[in-house]
Amino acid sequence: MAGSIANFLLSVSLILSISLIFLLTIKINKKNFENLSVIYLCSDGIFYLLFISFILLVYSFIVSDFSNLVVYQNSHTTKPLFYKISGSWANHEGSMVLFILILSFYLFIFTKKKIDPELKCFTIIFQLILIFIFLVFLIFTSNPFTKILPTPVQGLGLNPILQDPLLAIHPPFLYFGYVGFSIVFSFVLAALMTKKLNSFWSREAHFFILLAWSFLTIGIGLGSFWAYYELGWGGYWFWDPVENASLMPWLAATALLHSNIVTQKKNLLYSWTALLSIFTFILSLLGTFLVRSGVLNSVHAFANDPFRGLYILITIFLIIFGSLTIFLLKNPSYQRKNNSFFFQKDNFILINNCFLIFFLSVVLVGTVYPIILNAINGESISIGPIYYNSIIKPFLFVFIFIMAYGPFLEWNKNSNNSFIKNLLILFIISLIFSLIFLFLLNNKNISLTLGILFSFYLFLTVIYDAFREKKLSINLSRILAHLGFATVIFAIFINGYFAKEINLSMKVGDKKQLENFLIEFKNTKSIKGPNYDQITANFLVTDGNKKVELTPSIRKYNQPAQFTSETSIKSNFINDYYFAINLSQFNDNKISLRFYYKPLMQCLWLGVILIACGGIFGLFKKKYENTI
Amino acid sequence: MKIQYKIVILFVILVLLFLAFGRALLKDKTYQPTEMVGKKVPNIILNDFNNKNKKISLVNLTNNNFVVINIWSSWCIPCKEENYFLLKIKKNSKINILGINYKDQHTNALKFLKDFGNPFNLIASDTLGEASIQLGAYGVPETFVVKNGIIVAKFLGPINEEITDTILNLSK
Amino acid sequence: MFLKRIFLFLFLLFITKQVFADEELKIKIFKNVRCLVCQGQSIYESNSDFAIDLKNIISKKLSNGESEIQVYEFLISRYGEWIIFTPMWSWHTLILWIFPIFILICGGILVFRFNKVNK
Repeated sequence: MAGSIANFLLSVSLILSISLIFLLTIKINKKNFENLSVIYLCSDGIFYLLFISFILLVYSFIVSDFSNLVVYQNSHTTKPLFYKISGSWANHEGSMVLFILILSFYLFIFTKKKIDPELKCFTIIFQLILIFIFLVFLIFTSNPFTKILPTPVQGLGLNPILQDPLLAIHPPFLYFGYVGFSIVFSFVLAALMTKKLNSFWSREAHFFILLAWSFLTIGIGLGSFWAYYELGWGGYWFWDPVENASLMPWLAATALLHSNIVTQKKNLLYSWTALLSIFTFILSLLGTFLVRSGVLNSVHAFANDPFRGLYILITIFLIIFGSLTIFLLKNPSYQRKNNSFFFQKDNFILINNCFLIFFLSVVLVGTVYPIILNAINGESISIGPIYYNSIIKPFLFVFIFIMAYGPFLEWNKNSNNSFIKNLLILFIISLIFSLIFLFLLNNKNISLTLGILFSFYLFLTVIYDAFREKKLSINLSRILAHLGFATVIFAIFINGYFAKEINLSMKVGDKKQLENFLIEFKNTKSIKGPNYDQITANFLVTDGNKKVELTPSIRKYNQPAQFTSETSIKSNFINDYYFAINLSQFNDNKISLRFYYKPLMQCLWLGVILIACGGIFGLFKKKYENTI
Repeated sequence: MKIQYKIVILFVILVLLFLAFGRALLKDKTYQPTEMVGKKVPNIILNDFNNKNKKISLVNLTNNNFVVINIWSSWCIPCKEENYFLLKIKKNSKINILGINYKDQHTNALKFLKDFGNPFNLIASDTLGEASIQLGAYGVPETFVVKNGIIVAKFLGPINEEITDTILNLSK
Repeated sequence: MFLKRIFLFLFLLFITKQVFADEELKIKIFKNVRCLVCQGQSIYESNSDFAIDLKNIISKKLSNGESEIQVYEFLISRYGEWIIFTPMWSWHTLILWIFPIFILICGGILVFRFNKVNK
């Protein structure tokens, strides 16, 4: 019942969107922008319709309506309510509903903005086209309300690895990020069409860019955190193609965020900002394609039929071709004169834009090239962490140096103020600090030294930046985000070089001294969970005078019957102690385990949160500035 | 440059990329390493399945000979359907078939041969799975065709009617 | 092959950290070898039969005194380049390095022009 209503609602919104597109095209041709409120009402209507069908899908999951194919394939009556709900978007069909819902959500907020009617109408058309394309995809290739007859008594259950509170909220955040760039994309195409790409556009777009960027930052952070504690290999970033797919739009969006600031402040770089707006969304789509089409061999690989992939591929290429053609035809080629010097803020932002695009191209080529090579001549190559690390690292230092320097420069004159002279002192301080640090830790690695030096230098300059302004709130957004970035880089380097991992096999009562850890296997305990049985092992780790109790466990889920290894992580802000049980390899009553010692992991997550906070604060700051 | 040209160039690049991605999409994504085809049989010494003290040298065995090497195990379900075709090869030709029993319990393997028939002229045990790695195999079942000490063909997964014919043709 | 060897050697020199202990070297190699059965993971992260066998063989080879490069060469000769997560040097992998550098140079030219135009 719920399924047929939802299917009907989806079809109505499909018809509504196509008729709105026609209506708007007629209006634009006649240049008649009266009675727009009807149009706004209809576009809100699409959002409401999609929202109701989404709720209906969630409802089918909650009541375990197994006459629905998607529910049958991904749910089970014994699953806790929370995972029944999150299960509705943990599958291909459900996640596409969420995708389209968010597309229409951004349209919904956009129509509430006070913008020139022509520009607004064009934006709505482009956004509606996107909604239409994906609705067709949803209804005809991956319908979430397909019925099965006869109705099965029980569902197949959700993959236990996806039954995790973080993974329940990770996809929505990621989608709010990815899809958020759709409105920037539609908005920039509209601005190009109407030749209204100006500082007003730039200011309005800034809000959406920041919003989507903050969501994406949080989404990536959550995904990384999930991988860290759920997969149980002690890693937080694997350079896996699916992870890269989310990193690419983030890099492009970060570049866009900064170039848009230049556009806003100085009326420059219009075509560059426009191009980045287009590419950020294209990269989001590419990410969707890579994840959803099954073109990848990946940890995440969602097996799908290739025709879905083919449909996404065709539409993506049409979207790319269409948008870039509009860009080429309507590219604003006006150049403005202004007195410019090399040591000027906009110049430094532009330089770092280049570096961001460079990082982006590394990730892009590393992710996509193996696919293309294999298609061309059948050769298979793998590209793993070593490639990315070795090519990105040297340029990262330069990037951080410029990032530290830029904020102290002025927008309109060759800056030579006292702040800049002090930067040299800060640099010397951080050099001394990093040398002392490494001397104490007894490590002579050059790349580690540089990593600590530059991240610490960035850290100091950001603190200095925060105190030189009389009013902190003016630059708080930038300060938080840059501080977060410095923290992340610092944590990555320290973690990369000082993390330890020990493989051991023990039985109850065993005591082992390994490096500086005394590991004691105390006892085991059986627990019964809602839809799994669990055996927990209790360990006591003594590191110097610190004692940490750790309780890794193994779960046997009932449906689908599958074993998972649950990690146990204890942290004292500086270090993480991390235990995971190997799933196979049991012999002589011994279990084989992996013990990880991971320094500064908490700092890493804190850094990500700071970056996102920077973005969120920026959203509010704008309003505050406008009102005064 | 004129804008029309730019658009045409853009279009061409996109079409090429589209073709590449489309092909990748429709391609079978199971990875089939063919590195060993055309190379000499690696020098592996295996234990005989029936007599632990007897050794089998792959190089000696395949030298100046046509041998089909089949990696199998009693716990491998596709091996059961494959067995029928191996028996067929044995029946219709004088091809030597060497079975490599991969990570198996001896009693289970004996039962398997009793239940489904024994197509092998000779069986070697690979209890640690090392020999199959030396051969460049990564699962069961896999089949290698060796002619005069050189691997001429390799088949991933169970052999079927078609592969049986290929093997029979290769032996001529 | 010789060129590949030199390249691999240089590559390994620059790898994140110098490896001292045998155990660490082992883990590093395990993380760099793809588990063909599970396709997305390295053998370090897999408990499949194939991964366990490979881990045993690699450990054996290392304790026989073979070097990291020899281990990789053995694996490539059996399973092809796909099994190693670090791309090898050859004409068709050249683009992995050239493309990003090309982008960076283009960026440099654009920045330069931006400065010139403004003056």
